[in-house]
Amino acid sequence: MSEEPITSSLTIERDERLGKSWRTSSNRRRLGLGVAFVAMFVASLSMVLPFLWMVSTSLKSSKMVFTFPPQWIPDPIDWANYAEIWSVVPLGRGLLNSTIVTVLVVVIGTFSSTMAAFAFAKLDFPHKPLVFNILLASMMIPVVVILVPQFAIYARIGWIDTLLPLIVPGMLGNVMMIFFLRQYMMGLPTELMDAAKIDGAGFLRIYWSIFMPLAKPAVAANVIIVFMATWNDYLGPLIYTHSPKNSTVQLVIASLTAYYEEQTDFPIIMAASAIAVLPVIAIFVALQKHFVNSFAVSGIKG
Amino acid sequence: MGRRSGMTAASLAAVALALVTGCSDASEPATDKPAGEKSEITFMGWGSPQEVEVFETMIAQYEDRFPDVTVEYITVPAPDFNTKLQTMIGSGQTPDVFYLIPDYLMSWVDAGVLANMTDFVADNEMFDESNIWPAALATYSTDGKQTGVGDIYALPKDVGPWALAYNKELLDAAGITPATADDLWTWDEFTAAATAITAGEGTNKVYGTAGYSLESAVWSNGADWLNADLNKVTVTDPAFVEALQWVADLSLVEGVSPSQEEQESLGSTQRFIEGRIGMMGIGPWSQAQLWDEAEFEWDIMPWPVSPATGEEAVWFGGIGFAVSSSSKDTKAAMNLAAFLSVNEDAQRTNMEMGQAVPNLIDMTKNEFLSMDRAPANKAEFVRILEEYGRRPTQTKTFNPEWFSVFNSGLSAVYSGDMTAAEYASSVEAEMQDLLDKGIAEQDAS
Amino acid sequence: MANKNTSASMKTRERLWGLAFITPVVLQFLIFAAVPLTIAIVAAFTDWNIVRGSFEFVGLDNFVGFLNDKKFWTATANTAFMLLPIPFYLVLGVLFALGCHHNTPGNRIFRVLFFLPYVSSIVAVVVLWKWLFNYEYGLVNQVLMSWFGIQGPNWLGDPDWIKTTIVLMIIWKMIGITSIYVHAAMKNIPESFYEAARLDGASPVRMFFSITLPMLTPVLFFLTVVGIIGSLQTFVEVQLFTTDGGRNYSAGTVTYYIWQKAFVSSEMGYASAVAVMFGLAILAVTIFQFRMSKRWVYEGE
Repeated sequence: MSEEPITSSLTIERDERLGKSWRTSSNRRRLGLGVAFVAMFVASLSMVLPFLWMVSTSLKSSKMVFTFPPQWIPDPIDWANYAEIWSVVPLGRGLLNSTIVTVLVVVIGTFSSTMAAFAFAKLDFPHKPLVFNILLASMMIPVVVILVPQFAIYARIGWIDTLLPLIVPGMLGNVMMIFFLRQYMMGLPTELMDAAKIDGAGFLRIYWSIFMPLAKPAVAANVIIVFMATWNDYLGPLIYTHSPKNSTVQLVIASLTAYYEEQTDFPIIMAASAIAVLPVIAIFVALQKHFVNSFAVSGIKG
Repeated sequence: MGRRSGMTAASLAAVALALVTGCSDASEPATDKPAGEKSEITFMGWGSPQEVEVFETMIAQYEDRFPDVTVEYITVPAPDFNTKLQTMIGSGQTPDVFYLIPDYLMSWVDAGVLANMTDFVADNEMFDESNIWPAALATYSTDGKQTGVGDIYALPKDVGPWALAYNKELLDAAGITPATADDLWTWDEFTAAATAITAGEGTNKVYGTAGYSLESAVWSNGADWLNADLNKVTVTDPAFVEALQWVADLSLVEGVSPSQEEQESLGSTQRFIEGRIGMMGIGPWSQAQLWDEAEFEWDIMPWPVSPATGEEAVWFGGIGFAVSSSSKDTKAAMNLAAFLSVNEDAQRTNMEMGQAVPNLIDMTKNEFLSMDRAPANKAEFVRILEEYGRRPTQTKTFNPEWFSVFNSGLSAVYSGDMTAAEYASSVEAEMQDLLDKGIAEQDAS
Repeated sequence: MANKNTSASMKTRERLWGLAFITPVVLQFLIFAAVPLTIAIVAAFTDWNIVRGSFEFVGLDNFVGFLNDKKFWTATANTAFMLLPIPFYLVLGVLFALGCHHNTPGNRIFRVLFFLPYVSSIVAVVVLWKWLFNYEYGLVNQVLMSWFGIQGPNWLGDPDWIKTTIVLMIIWKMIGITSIYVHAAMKNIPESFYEAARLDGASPVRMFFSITLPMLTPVLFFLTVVGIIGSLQTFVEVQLFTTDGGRNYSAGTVTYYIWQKAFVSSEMGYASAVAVMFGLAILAVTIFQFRMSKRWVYEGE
C-alpha cells in the first residue's frame, strides 16, 4: 500500500523522462535523416552528372561543344555521332570480341571458381592448407612483375594478337572470387553434404545440385564482378593484341580517343564511350539486388 | 620439403629459360614465296580517316596489279605506333611493310629488323631512282656510321615539306601582304603581322600564329641542336637560346600565339580550321583536311628569316615504307613498298586527294604544280624541297633519345616557367649523356 | 566391414574430387603466375631486349641503372601520391554506408547511382574526365568561371595539378564499391550491441565510435590492404590521361615507368629488374600491414 504512490510517482517520472527523450530523439532522428538525405542526394548527383554530361555531349555536333555557357540539352539533338562511329572505328568488331571474351570467361570461369571454392570449403584433400596459402600469396604478386614474361610466353606459343591470352587464364578461375565464394560456402551447413553422401550421391552431384543453388547470391555477385572486370579490361588487350580485328571495345575507344583528341572532337568520343559503358551498367542495374545481398549474407570480414 | 621445392624451382627456371631464349631471335632468313601461290602480307601504318581512305584505294590498285597477293592493312594511332611495332617485332609478328620513322633508321638497321632495299631499288620494274627526290632517298640511307649515304632501307612515303600556311581573309582584313620568295620577312615583320591579326576575346579570340617551327627559328639563326659532327650537344649556344626564347615570347610576351594551356585544350590545326589562327605551319598531308573543312581562303608563304643571318631554313620530314627482314614474301613486300611510294597511279591518287607532294620529281613539276586547288602558291612546297629545307637533326643520329628528352621538358619554356637559357643549361648534360650512349651503342655494333 | 570399405573409398573419392576441383586454378597459378614470376626474376639480371634479340647476363647493371635514374625516383614519389585517395574514399564510403544503413529515404536508388563510376570502363571514365576538366571548354572550369569567377587551373597539363586530377577521379570511382563492403559489414553487427548502448543512454555519435567503427575494422583492414596494393600499381589512368607520363613526368608512376621500359624501349631485362624490386617492396608493405593489424583490428567477439 505504501509502495504504490512511490512506484507510481517514479513511474510517472520515468515515463515523463522517456517521453521527453523519445520526442527529442525522434526529432533528432528526423533531422539526421534529412541531413543524410541531402548529403547523399548531392553526392549521388556528383556521381551521375558526369555521365549525363557524357550523353549530352555525345548528342551535339563537333563544333557545338565549344560554346559558353555549357548547354545541357543540345539544340538540336544530333544522333549523327552514334551512326558515324560504326564506320570510323571497328566498334562492332570490338563489341563482338568483348562479348566473346567476357562470356567465355564468366561462364567457364564461374565453374572453375565455384568448384575450387567448394573444394576448399567442404572437401578434404592432401595439402589443402598449403595450396590455399600459396594461392593467397599469389594474389600479392604485382601484375606488373609478370606482365613482361607473360607476354614473352604468349609470343613464343603464338597467342599474341589473338583473344586467347584474354580468355584462357580467366577460364581457369579467379583467385579473389574463390576466397569470396569459399567464405560464403563455409557458412552453408555441411550436414547437407553428409546426408547426400549417405544417399550415395557423388561429389560432382553434391556440388552441382546442393551447394550451387544455395550459393546463388554469391555466384551472382561473382558473375557481376567478373563480368565487369573482363568487359572493362584495358591492359590485357592493350598488350596482347595488335590488329583492329582483335581489339576489344575498350581498345577501340582508346584508339578513337587518340585520333580524335587531336581533332578535339569530343562528341564522337563521348558517343563511343556511352556505347561501351551501357552494357555493364545495364547488367549491374538488373542484378544489383543480388550483388548487395550476397555481400551481406557472406559476412565479409576480410 | 626443402629439396622438393628446390627442384620445383629449378624446373620452373629451366622451363622459363627455354621459353625465353627461344623467342629472342628476332630475325629469320627472308624467303620468297613460290610463284602462283596466293600470298598475304601485312602493312601497318597510321593516319586520319581521309589518309586511311587514300591508302585503301592505293592498296586496291596494288592488288589489281599483283593479283596473287592480298594485303592486310592495319592502322594504329600515331602516338602508339612505335610501341605497338616493337611489341610486334618482339613477338615475331613484324608486319611485312610498315611506316618507318626516320629517327630510328640507324638503330633498327643495327638491330637487323629492316630489309636492305638497295638492290631492289637499283633493279626493279617500278621506278627510276633518278626520278625520286634525292633528299627523300637520303633520309632512308645509312652505311652504319651515318645517314644520308649507303644502303637504302626504306622508300619514302612522302617528303613532307613544312610550309607556313596563312588564312588569306585574316591577313587581308589586317591589311597585310604575305611574304614572297623575293620579299622575305624578318622575324620582326612576322611579329608585327601576327600582332595586327591578333584580336578578340575568349571564344572569339583570333591569334596571329600558333606553334611556330622551332627548327626554322633555330636554323635560321645559325644554330642547331648538335654540332656538325653530330657528337656534341649545342643547345646552350647563344644563337640557339635566342631563337628558342623568341619562339616562346611569341606567346609569353607578344601574346600572338596561344598559351600552353590553350594549345592543350584545342589543337592548333583545329583552331586554324576554325579560322582563329592567322599563320601556321602545315605539311602537305593537311591539304585534304583543309579542302574538306576550312571555310576560308588559304595559301602558303616562305618562312620568315632571322634578322641576324637572313637565311631561310625549315625542315622537311616524312615517313618511310620499310620492309621487315623476316618477311615471308620479301618480293611482294618490297613491291608494295615501292608501289605505295612511287607507283604513278598511286602517287597521282595521293596528290589529288590532297595527301602529299608526289615523290616523283617529274610528276611534281608537271602535274602537282598545275593542280587547280589551294594552296595557289604550292610552288613553295617545292622550293623547300629544292632550296632551303633540311632533314631534322634527330634523324641523323643513332637514336633520337637525346632529342626526346629535350622536347619532354620544353613546355617549361613555352609556359614561362623557365627562360630558354635556364632550360638549355639544365637539360644539356642529360642530352649529351644520351647522345654519347647512342654513339657507344653504334660503335659497339 | 562393408561400411569401413565404403568410408575408406569415400575418403579417397573425396580426396580425388577435391584435387580435381582445384586443378583449374592450380594450373592457372603454375602457368600464368609461377612460371612468369621465375622468368621475371631471371630476366632482371639480363639485358633482355626483344627487338634486338639479346639475352645476356649483366649482373646488377639493371639495378644500378634504375636506382640512378632520376625518372625512377620521380615515379616513386608520384606512386606514393597515389595512396592519397584511400583515406578519402574510405571515410566517404563509411559515411555513405551509414546513410544506407539507417535507411535514409531513397537509399536504394542512391546505391545504384553511387556504383556507376566503378562499373564503367576506365577508358570511358578517363575520356569523360579529360573532357570535363578541359582547360577552356571543360564543364568544371566553365562552372568555376561562371559561378565563382575563378579561372580554373590547367587540370590536365599543369604538372602540379595532373596528379590531383587523377586522385579525384579515383576517389570518385571508389566510394561506391567501398560503401557496399562497409554496408554489408555493418549489417552483420548485432543489433543487441546498439540496444544495450541505447539503454545506457549513449548518443548516436558515441555509438558510432565505440561500436560501429571497431566492428568495422576487419573490413576496413581488408579494404586498406587491397587498396594499397592496387594504388601502388596505378598504371592505366596514367597511360590514358597523359602522353609520356605528363609534363616533367609529373604523373608517371612506377608501373608506368616499367611499362615504358618494357614496351616502349623494349628493355625487358631492365623493366623486370624494376618490377621485381617493386614487387618485393609491395610485399614488404603488405606484411608490415598485417603485423600492424594486430594493434587495431578487432577480431572475434
